[in-house]
Amino acid sequence: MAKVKNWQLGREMDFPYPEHRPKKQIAYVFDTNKCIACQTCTMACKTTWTVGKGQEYVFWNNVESKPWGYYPLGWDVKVLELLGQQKWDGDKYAGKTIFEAAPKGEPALGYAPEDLDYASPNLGEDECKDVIKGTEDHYIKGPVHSNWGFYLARICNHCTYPACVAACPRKAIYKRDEDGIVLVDQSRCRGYRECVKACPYKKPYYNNTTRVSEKCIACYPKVENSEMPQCVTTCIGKIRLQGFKSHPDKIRKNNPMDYLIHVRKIALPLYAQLGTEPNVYYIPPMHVDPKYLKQMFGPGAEKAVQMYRNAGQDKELLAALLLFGSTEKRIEAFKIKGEMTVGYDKDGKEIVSVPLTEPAIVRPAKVEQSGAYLYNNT
Amino acid sequence: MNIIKTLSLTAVFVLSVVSVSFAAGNVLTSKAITGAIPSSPADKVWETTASVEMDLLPQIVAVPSIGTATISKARVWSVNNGTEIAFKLEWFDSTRDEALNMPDKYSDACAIQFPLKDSDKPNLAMGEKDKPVYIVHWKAAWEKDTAMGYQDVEHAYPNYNVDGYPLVKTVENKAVYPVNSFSDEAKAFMAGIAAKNPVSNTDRRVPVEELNAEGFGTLTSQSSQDANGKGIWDYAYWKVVITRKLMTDDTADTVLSKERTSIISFAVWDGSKGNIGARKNIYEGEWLNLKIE
Repeated sequence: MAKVKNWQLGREMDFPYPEHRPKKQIAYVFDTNKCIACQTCTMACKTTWTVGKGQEYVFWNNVESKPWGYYPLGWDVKVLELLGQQKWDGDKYAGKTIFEAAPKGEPALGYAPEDLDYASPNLGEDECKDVIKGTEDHYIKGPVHSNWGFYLARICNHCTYPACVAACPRKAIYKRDEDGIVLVDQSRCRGYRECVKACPYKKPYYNNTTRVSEKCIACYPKVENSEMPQCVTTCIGKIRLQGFKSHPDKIRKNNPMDYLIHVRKIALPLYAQLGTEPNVYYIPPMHVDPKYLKQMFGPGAEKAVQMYRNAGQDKELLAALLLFGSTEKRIEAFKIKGEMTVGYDKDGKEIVSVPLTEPAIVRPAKVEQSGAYLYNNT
Repeated sequence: MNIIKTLSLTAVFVLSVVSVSFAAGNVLTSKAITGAIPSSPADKVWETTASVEMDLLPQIVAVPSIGTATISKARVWSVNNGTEIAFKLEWFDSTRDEALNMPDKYSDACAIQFPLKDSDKPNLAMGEKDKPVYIVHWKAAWEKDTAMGYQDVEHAYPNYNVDGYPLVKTVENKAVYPVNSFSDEAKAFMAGIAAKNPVSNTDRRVPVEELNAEGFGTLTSQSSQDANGKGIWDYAYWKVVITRKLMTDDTADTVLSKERTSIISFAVWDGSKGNIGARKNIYEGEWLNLKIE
């Protein structure tokens, strides 16, 4: 095991390979507050990449309703239970990662899902309170909590320290140096499913027909062409933005990714304590138990929620957030120009501009000419 | 009653005569026979050939490993006719695991390994750099593929339904299932097949595969496949025969010849215990000597 720096944990950790950060690192920001679980992203991904035989149960992208929805069933609670109770010491993680807690002879702490775990995508959908009583006739037993829930959209995290890469005995999985995208070599994989077992997010899938493992490819043909992936550009709720993030020591403030992740710290990694340094970042939901948010998004969750509540009065933050869903092209830099937020491509060319405030037109309820009242005038 | 007694006594007698346990320095002798090489584990020739019993240990050199052996003993036989050689392996396994078409299923399997070059004594664990090994691998799943056709989604989940697959014909609005009937354009949607990955071979003719390796993680299927095999699951015992020519035209195959002692090693997997890849049982830590009569 090598010692590598994991900035999300604020400390060094063990990993089978020495630290090697790619020239560029793909990153995403998902705003959970705007997601309505319409699954348009899921279907966009499915119809683009996983329509083949053997992929019937495969969802590289899925949206699950938390706290009780999962795909595969119970993926996060199972991993957290295996890991046991761990602690944050301020911004520094004081517990063990899946690599540090790996049993002897195992590359990481993990488990292999059963096929029935994949049988019901998002079992527990929209169940947020009353159906969960912890009694015999309910499939989930757990604490009854106050009425909250939210939608968690999930894809491969293209981790800096991928558990799938750590676990593959054939080195058939690799992280591309040019953009940090993690890919399975389809000609070298022998279907051992070590990646499926080790990935705590359960994002590699075994193909029942080709008998090899597959995973999200970050729509690399689009990314190479300066476009954002299918799940990002098809999102009708405009909850997603994809870009490249810098190392925390070399941030560029006008890069929307760096700004949201490193400058404002409003976008947080999912279960950072597992130690893979995931690169999909989430703006946490506003109306969820802070303890739950801390477990899922780390110690900065509550602060991020407060910041988000105030976004309307925070011009620069608003400027970054309004870029979401505004264009299919990747925005490498942004700037406020008057009352507009403007996005630029890698050559510095303007590709999009969005008003910071939409013009509001108030129509009087009574139409003077006719004397009639409008009941639906929005 | 008397007949049964007589038969069982005979069986004990035969076993005690022809079986020896392997210990360090022991030799597996490939018995010279005349005529065709046995292609089946049920062939009569095995009854008159000495076997040796091997103690197996869990593979613990590389990660991932297994903590305890899932198969602790196996028995091996060998015969040759001067042109071809056959090995028979037999081990107890109460579960017949031959599915690779479900996400949580693994196949029972076995393998034999030789140094590629006669002068080498490479690391037993899949060889080492510049000291490659040659491996013949049998899988129960491949046995089923060759006997009953490629085992696919419709075999694992017979009641599943699908609207269709891209560029695949439908008959009465139902997808045509056999993947071998798919056009090349349709197969392009199945990445492992499109990438010509040997494990995605949907038209497998033999249940064995020849491979080479130069250390863990380097296992590579050969472009020229010359070995054959046959496995049967008989009252909770897997009985597997692996055959090949003593000498082939393939430079990636180990050359075996009469009147010469080679070294050999074995591995066994139990699918229902999650054994796959390096999660396997191997002969206890040494190369075995193989004498070809």
